[in-house]
Amino acid sequence: MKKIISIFILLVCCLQMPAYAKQISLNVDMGTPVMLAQKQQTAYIKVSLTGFEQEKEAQRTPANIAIVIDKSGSMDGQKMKQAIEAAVMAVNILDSNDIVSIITYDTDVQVIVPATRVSDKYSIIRTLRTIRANGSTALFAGVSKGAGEVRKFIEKNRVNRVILLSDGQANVGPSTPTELGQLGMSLGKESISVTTIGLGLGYNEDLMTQLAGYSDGNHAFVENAADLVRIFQYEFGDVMSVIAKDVNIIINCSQNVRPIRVLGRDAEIIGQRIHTKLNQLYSEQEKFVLIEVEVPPTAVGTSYDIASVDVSYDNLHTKRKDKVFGSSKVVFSASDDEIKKSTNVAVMEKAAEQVSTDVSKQAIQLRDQGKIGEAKRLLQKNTDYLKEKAASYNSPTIKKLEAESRKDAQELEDEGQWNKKRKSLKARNYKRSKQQSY
Amino acid sequence: MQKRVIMTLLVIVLIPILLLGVMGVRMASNEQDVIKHQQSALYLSRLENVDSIIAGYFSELEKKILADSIYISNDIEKFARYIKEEPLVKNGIVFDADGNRVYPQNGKSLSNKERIFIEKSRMFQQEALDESPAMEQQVQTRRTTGYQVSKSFFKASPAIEKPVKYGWYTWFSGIDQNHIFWWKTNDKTFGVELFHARLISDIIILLPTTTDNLHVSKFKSNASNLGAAALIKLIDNNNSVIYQWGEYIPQKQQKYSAMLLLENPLSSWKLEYYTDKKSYNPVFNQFNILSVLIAIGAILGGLAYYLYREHKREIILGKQRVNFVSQISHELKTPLTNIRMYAELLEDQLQEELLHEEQQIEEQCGDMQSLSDQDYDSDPKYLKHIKIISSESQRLSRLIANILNFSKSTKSGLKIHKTKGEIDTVVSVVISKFEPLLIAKGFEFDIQLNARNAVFFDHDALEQILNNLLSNVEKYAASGKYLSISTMQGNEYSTITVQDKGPGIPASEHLKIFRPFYRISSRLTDGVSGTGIGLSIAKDLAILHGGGLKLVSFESGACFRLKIHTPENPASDKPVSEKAMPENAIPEKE
Repeated sequence: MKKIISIFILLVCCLQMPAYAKQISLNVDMGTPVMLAQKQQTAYIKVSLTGFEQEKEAQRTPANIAIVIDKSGSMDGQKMKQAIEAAVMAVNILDSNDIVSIITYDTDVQVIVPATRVSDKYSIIRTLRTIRANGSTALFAGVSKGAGEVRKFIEKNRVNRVILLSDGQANVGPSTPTELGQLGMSLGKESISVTTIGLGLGYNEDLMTQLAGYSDGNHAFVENAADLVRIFQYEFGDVMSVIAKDVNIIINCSQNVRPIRVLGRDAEIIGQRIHTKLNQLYSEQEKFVLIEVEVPPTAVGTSYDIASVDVSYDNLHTKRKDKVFGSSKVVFSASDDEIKKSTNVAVMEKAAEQVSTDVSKQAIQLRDQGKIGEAKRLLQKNTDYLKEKAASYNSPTIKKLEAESRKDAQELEDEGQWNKKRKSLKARNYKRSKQQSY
Repeated sequence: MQKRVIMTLLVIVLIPILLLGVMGVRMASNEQDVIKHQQSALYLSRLENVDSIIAGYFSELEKKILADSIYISNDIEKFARYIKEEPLVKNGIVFDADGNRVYPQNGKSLSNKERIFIEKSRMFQQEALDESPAMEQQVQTRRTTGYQVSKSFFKASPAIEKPVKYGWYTWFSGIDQNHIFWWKTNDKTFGVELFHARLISDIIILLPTTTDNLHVSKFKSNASNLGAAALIKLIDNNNSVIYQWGEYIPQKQQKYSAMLLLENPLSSWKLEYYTDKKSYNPVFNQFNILSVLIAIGAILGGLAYYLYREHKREIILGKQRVNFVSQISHELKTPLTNIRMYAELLEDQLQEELLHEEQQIEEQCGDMQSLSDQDYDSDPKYLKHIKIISSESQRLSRLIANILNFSKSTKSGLKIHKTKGEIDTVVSVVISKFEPLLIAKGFEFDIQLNARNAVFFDHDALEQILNNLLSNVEKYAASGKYLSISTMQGNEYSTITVQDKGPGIPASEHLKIFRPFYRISSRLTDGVSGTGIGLSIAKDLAILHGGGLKLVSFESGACFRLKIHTPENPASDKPVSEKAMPENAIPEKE
């Protein structure tokens, strides 16, 4: 009997898998599916996408990676050694379907391994081991050359990515966060993502997060060079689990509903229409867009679709352009109890997290302008907000956020630790905004 | 003497080296100029190559956008999608013929990005609509020849809207450069803003990288072929380095070797070429010149040293010869003195005997007259022989005295010992020695002796001077058959003039005859033996004696005037020093 059942399950799976598992799943959830009637209020809509499971290692999407390594003078010693080890590890993970190029830069740029199939790992690794650190930091040119190498083999069905490792301020060539952000934006349009890994306490976290953010890559703050290999492992785990690319999300809000802002992600809001793009979606990872909307006073009992979502993407499994649709209903009620009961705590937790992240970003800005007191007050206000939310949703997650925010408010003043704190805050905010896996 | 030789040789060596050096340096500097010129031309051509890469990029970009424009110009939706999807494009804007904004649509709500762009590009909008001259000019100065290509491309599909005009519009907001590529169709004006950072990034990708000699890689990339000693920098309008490649590391504050300004749309950007200035500095050339100079110097120096050695050897040899001769002379002196003495003694004895015999004969015969005549005619032969021996040995001793004096004078060992005496006495003795010889040659004499005062002078020196003068008269002026000797005295000086009526001495030889070993070469002197040191010694002695010996002009023949310092007492023997006084210092009437 058991045998029969298992065979049946297997059969079902075989039949269903192509139809079901090979689509990304779209969920449109309201934080408060039941809302108070006759009152203008804000609501949170969470549009989440989850990548399907990758079947086998062999079927993974081939990668097209440029590893751009800072070899300026400050990298000398342990950092350089660890960076090389991390790159060696990365090369070892890849196989002959993948393409890799290795670019080093100091005052000028050297393409030490031009874009090539990873068939002769030994030569690549031997070349990697010859890297010696010295000189200045031509970060822009390094990333450019990396992008150039990736572009040589750019394909729709590849994970096209530049991985930048730097420990210093860019001091040769364009070096403002805006300029690097623009480059990231342009590369993002080509679906080349730039992952930026900041090593130590000397790099420019604004520049690195902008570059990664606009191109939808990852960003990590690695204080200790010994962690580099681990971070590279995570990064390559991500790289190898990309299942969808060029994910365009269009959210159309219902007529009366006014979108206020998109939390975390960069999005274009024109009227009722919100457009945002994910460069890629990783297997079994959830990425979401959290939208804050203003809902006008509505009569009790009314129910309508608050938003409809169209997602189009390149399915790397089927090698086709696929589309998914979704929408979310809202019901208006006069009963507080009903509202409270129906509240989607998970969404509200995420909303609190994103709001808190947004506050953190503002606090950093204020702190940068020297308004330490103001920044602190802002964070304290956020702590209070989180405290209230934690209580009302009875959520330990929000409680944790509250504690975190309190700690941030305290540490804001410490001038000596600020550089490090800022980097870790930037990295944390980035991670939360983009739902980065590591 | 030695010093002079060394100086001369040094000059001989140094002057050619100096001349060569100057010429070499000038040649090298000329060559340098040529090389410099060639090199800066080379550097510039390299920069032009880079510039052409950049120009090529923009020209390709223009072509691409113009090709795309055909499909998007007639459909605003397509244009909007183009703006969204084209990686290089940041924003876009479209106006219709009436100047109304068609995209982003006027009146409709705008995204933040669009709002910022519209705000930022006001100037462009204004100029694009007004058809301002600035835009026209940009069309004129465009760097592409792509339009021709595009035109033919457009002909193939006449149905679609083709751009009639296009160009770049670049402006600054703060220090950021903004680029809009615009084109006009018959009824619309389109503009697309391009990512400045992306343009730079693309250009950087096209430019070469630095070759890294360190790693032995099997991977080849489009590494630069600049060579080890050069570096090219791409510099933006803010004077900061955008990108650089090449292995050369310039010094701080080093000036570029060549510079090239880029054209629109990257106007006010430039390329700079850096290289080791020393690589074309004259070090190598200077080294060349120096080595050539050293080589020539060594050769000339060697030659000079060889000559100097030879010269020194000659001098030593000469000295040895003089020493040898003077030693021999010295050895000859004693036997010769003996010979002379005994010859004279013999002569005296014979004369006495002869006289004795004559007296006997006279006593015997009494016919004095006839006998004496007979005697004269038949002077015994042996007496004649003895006289010849005596006169020749005298000549020989004069010669030896000359040689000894000469060798002394070269060693500065000639000294004057003044004793009291009468000038005329010495003169008479010398005359009497030469008389028989001169009489035998048929000379007439005119002798006026007026120096009878007792004065201090060197008898031997005066005798030797006169010996030499008279010996010359006997040797060379025999044809004149006339000798005049006069002495004068006064004012502490004595003057002796010796004059003949021989062939005389040509004016050109007047000074040379006093040089040692100098002999006038002429028919006259040929075949006459002589050492050539007589006059030289005579003059040396005269100078040493506080006077001089001069050849004075005379109508015919030669006239020597000897002037010596002859004080009346030894105390006033002051003007005579060990060193020779210049003869001109002594007043002399001619």
